[in-house]
Amino acid sequence: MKIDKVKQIANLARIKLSKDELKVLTKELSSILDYVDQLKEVDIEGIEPFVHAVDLHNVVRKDEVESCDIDLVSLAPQTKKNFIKTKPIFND
Amino acid sequence: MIKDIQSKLGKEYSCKEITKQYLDKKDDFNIFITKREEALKEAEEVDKRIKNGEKITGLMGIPMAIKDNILIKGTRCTAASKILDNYIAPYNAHVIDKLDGAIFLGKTNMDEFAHGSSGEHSAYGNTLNPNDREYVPGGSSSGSAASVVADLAVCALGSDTAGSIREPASFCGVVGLKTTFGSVSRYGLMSMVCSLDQIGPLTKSVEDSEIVFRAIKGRDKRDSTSIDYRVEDDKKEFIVGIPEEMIDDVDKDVKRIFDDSVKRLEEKGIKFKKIHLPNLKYGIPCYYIITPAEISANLARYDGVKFGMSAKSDDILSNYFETRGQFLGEETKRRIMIGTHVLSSGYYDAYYLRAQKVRAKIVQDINNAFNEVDLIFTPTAPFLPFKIGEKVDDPISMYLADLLTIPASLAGTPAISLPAGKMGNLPVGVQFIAPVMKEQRLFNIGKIFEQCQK
Repeated sequence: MKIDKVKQIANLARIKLSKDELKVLTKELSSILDYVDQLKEVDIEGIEPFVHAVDLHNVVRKDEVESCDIDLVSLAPQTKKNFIKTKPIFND
Repeated sequence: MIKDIQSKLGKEYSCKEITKQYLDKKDDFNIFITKREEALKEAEEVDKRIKNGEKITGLMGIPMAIKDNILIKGTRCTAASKILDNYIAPYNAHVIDKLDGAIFLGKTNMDEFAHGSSGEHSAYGNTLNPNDREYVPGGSSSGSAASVVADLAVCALGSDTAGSIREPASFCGVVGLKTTFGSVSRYGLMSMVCSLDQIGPLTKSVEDSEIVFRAIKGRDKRDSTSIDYRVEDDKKEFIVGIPEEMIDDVDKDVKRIFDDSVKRLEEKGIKFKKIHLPNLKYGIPCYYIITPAEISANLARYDGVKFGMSAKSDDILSNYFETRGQFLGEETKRRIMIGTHVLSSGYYDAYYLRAQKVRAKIVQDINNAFNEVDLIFTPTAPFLPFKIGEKVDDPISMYLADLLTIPASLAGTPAISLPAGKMGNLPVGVQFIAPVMKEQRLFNIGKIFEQCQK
């Protein structure tokens, strides 16, 4: 794995990495991906991917409004009245 | 232990007295991230209830420690990450509500967001192993395991994704239970790997493990993966399988204590049989694709906008980059990066989908084994507790700690780690794995095992 690839992944993951971090991660990601590559040895022809340990499917509930006394808004780093405040999302 | 304390509550001592006794103990091992002084007031309430004639049930009156990724309303909850340094939990986890009357002494140290097997990935300094301070206590539920062996709590809750309850239980010398996937609601547990995370107890005895499990199990409509769970009587005579494939990977000291455990159980009339788990060695590579993939999705929520720490930046995009760059730790970044890569366009089939298919094969091996045997028996960890710093720069050698705990996680089956002996100061644990929903079988064999340790 090349350092440009690692930069691209960091960009997708929205993480700022220092030069040193990039260097170390380039080495580590390469060795981890080499290590997990041994899965290629396994014959998976005709195998269905695993989904859930206990037989559960389509757990549904009614889409009803319930009262909620949990205050989540005040946990935000910046708020205005009862809203979460952020920097602009859309540029002109 | 739990029953003994409860039998004395309101007679030999009050709940407030025992709570104060526990809160006043010195934390020499960096076990707690946050202590809850309000526990004293809560203990007074319990004393009132007992005085009013209320029957003592469940965990009522018992001083407990809670892993810092489980929410207690009004108490700081960091998951040992700087990105949640200022986060105050706005509601209770379901398990906290279920433990009505239990006393929560504090929130225990862990690997950041439960990413690790040694406790060294905590942003608040690593927990020391109370058996020997130079060694790791195991992880990620490091503080919860250490709190129980150091008697800074009567018992504790942890979470287990690939061994995060069982491995620290083994390294510290306590009982650790990984519960059946879905048996305990995860509402209010910070998500790491949704297809694997489970809450479970760390305790001083199998009986205590059973008491805590019975108190926290059951369906919760706020966790759609939780299931109805009825405790049923289970057999008390067993055929136990020992997987052939693990032998080469187990350290000789661990192997000696394991073989000794087999001998003692045979003397109690337990029958053993060789079994095969041909895909055992693929468990770790399989896990280290599924896990980072789900982590990269789950940890996208830490964006500096909705809660937690936030960097000061001029625009929204650099605020994401700066916040996550500054406040997330090394292992967490590593896992998010791997996960982002394996889920990125063009790689999904090669990595995640393949891993889920290999997972299906590993699960099939375990189900096949359970056609022949009632339980599977292994050491909990393939090696002894290691020295602090020994593996921290080599992620893959750290990942190998999970070799024998991963299969039960991938299959969603329950498993229990029990203290089996010591090599010098260092405890060694052994693990029983049972079929899905058969926690009772683990408690039954666990009690037999405890008797042969005496």
